[in-house]
Amino acid sequence: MNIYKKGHTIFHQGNPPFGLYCVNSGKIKISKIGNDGKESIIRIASEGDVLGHRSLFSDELYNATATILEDTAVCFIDRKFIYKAIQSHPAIAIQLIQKLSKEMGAAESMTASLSQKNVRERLAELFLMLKQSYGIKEQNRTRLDIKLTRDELAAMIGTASETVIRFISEFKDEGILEQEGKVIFIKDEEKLIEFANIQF
Amino acid sequence: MSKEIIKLSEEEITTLKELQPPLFFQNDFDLVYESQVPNVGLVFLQGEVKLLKKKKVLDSLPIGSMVGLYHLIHNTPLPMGIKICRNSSVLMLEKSAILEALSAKSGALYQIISSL
Repeated sequence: MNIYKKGHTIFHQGNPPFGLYCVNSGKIKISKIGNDGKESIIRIASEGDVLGHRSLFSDELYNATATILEDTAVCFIDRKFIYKAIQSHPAIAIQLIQKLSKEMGAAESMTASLSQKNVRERLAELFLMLKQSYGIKEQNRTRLDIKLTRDELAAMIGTASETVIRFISEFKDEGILEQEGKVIFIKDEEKLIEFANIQF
Repeated sequence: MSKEIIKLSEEEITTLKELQPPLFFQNDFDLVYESQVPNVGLVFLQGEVKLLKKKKVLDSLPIGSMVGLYHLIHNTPLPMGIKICRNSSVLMLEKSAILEALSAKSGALYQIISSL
C-alpha cells in the first residue's frame, strides 16, 4: 500500500492501464479534460472505491485522470493478479459486475441531470450527493467532510465558478447552507431536495 | 544506484517484450513518487524517463535500463521518483509475474531475474 499526497496523480487520461487501484483512505478526484481544455469532475472516490478497472478490463486508455485531494492510502493490484483471481474466484467477477453496473447507473443519472436540469437544481443535487457520501451529522445540521473549491464544484456540474458562488450565496440566504471557513454545512435538507427537483 | 538501475542486454529486452507488450505513454506519468514502493518494475525502451529526488531531476534513465525491480520484490520504498515523459515506451514487469517466475524457478523471466 502506498501513501499519495495532495496533488499527486494515480493515473493520467490518455495513458495505458496496467492494474487497478483500491482506495483504503482519503479522497481522489476523477476528472476529464475536454477538447476545449476544460476540466469536468466525474466523481470523487474515497475509502472502499476501486479505480482504473473500466480501462483495465476494456483494454482502453484511461479516459480520466485520478488526482489526490487529500493524503490517500492506495493499494495497487496488477493485471495478471486480478485476472488470475477472477478465474479462480468467480465471485470477484460478480462483485466487479455489480460495481460497474452501479457506476453505469450513476453515469446515466449524471447525464440526465446535466441535460434536463438547470444549474441551480444541479448544484442542489450535488450537495445532496456530497451529503450522502461525506455528510457527518452534527446537532441540527450536517457537515460535509470534504473540501472542494468553487472551481471544483463548478467542474462537477458543468458550469462556471461565478455561477456556483452566486447560487451558494442564494442557498445561504435561504437558510439551506451554512459555511464556517472552508467547511460547508447543510442546514435544511428538505428545502435542498425541493431545490434539486428530485423525489427521494 | 546499481541496486535500483540495471542495464539489460538487447537479447533480454527482446525476451521480455515477448512476455509483456510495451506500453506507450502519451502523457507524463509519475510511475512512482519518491519513497513509495513501486507497483511494477520498469524497462525503459524509448522516449524519456526521469529520475527525481525532492521534485528535482536527478538523472535520465538510459534506454534499455530496468528500474524498481529490487524494491518491488522486497517491498521496500524507492529512494527516488520515476517520471515517464510523454511519448515514451516502456515495459511494465508485474510483481505477480515476477513472483510466479521466482517460485517456478524456470522460464525466460526467471532466467533474466536470476542472472541479475
